[in-house]
Amino acid sequence: MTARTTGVLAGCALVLATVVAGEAWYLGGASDPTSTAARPVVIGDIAARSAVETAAQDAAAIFTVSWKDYDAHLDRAAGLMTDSFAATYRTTAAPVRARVVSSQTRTTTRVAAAGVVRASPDEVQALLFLDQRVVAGSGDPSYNARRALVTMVRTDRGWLVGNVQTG
Amino acid sequence: MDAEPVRCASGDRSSLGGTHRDGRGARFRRALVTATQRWLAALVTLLLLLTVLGAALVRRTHADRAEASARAERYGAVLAAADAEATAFVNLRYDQAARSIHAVADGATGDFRAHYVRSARDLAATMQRQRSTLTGHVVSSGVVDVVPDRATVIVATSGTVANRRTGGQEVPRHYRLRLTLLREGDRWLTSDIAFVGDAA
Repeated sequence: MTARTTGVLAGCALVLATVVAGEAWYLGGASDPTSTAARPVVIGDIAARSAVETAAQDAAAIFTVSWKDYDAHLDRAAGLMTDSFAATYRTTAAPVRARVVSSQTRTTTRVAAAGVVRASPDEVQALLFLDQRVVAGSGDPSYNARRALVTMVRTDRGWLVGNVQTG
Repeated sequence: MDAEPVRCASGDRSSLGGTHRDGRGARFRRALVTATQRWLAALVTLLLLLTVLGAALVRRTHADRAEASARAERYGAVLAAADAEATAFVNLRYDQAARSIHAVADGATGDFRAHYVRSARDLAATMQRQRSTLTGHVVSSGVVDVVPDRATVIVATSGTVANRRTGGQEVPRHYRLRLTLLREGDRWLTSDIAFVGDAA
C-alpha cells in the first residue's frame, strides 16, 4: 500500500511535470513574427501607428529645407537617421547644397497622408504622401505632390530613419 | 530449548540478537517512505498549481496569438483588396470600356459602386470619344487605419495616360489615392476612392 502510494505520487509528479514543461514550451516557444505579403504587419496597431507617426514627423523635418541654414539642417536631419543612412544622406545632400544656396530655395513639406506598408518588431515601412511648397528666391511658389517610402528601424535611440525612397 | 520470541518496541517479532537492529531498520524505512511521500505530495501540489497557472497563461497567450494572427492577416487582406481596386481604377481602356468599368465595380460597394455603375454608359462614351487609355500599377500601399469591418488605405500608383488631348502620346501619370474599404462577408470592398492632392 505504501509503495503503491509512493508510485502513484511519483507518477502524478511525472505527468504534471510533463504538462508544465509543455506549457512552458508553448509560452516561451514563439519567436519574433516575420512580416510577409499575406501578413505585412505583425506588431500591434499602436506600435505600428507610433512608428508611422515618427516617420511622418521625421520626413517632414528632413524635407523641409532652407538655403539659410542648410548645413545646420543636414546635422538636424542626420540626427533622425541611423548612422549608415545618415552617411548616405550626407553624401547625396552635399552636391545639392550649392544649387539650393545659389537659388535661395526654401522647401516646406507637410505630410498629407501616412500608412503602414509592413511592420515587424524591429522595422516598419511607411508610405507617406508629401505636399511640398518650393520657393526659389523671391519667385512664385511651386507645389509638388510626392510620395515617400520611409523605413524606420528600431534602435536603442528609438525609431530612426533607415532609408527613404521618394517618387 | 528454543528462545522465547521477543517483541521489540515496534512490535516486530524477531529472534534474539537481531530484533532491535531490524526494528530500527524498519522504522528507518518507514520514516524514509513517509518523508518521500511527503516530498512527493508537496511536489505534486506545486506542480498542480503550476499546471493550473500555466493553463491560464496558455489560454490567454493562445487567444492573444490568435488575435494577433487575425490582425496580421487583416492587414494583408485589406492591402490586397485595395491594390486590386486601385489597379482596376487606373487601368481603363476605351477599347475595353465595359470590361474596365466592370473590374472597378466588381471590387466596389455602396454609393461608390452605384455611382460607378450608373455612370458607366457615360464614362464609356467619354472614353470612346477621347480614345482614352489609362494604364498604371500600384507602386506602394499602406494602411492608415483598420478595424475588423472598415479600413482606410493610401495607394501610390504609377502609369500613363493617352487620349486625344495628349495627341495619342502616353504621358506619365502618378496618382495618390485614398481608399475606404468595408468588409462584406469574406471580402473587402471599396466604398470610396479619393485623390490625395494633385497628380504629380
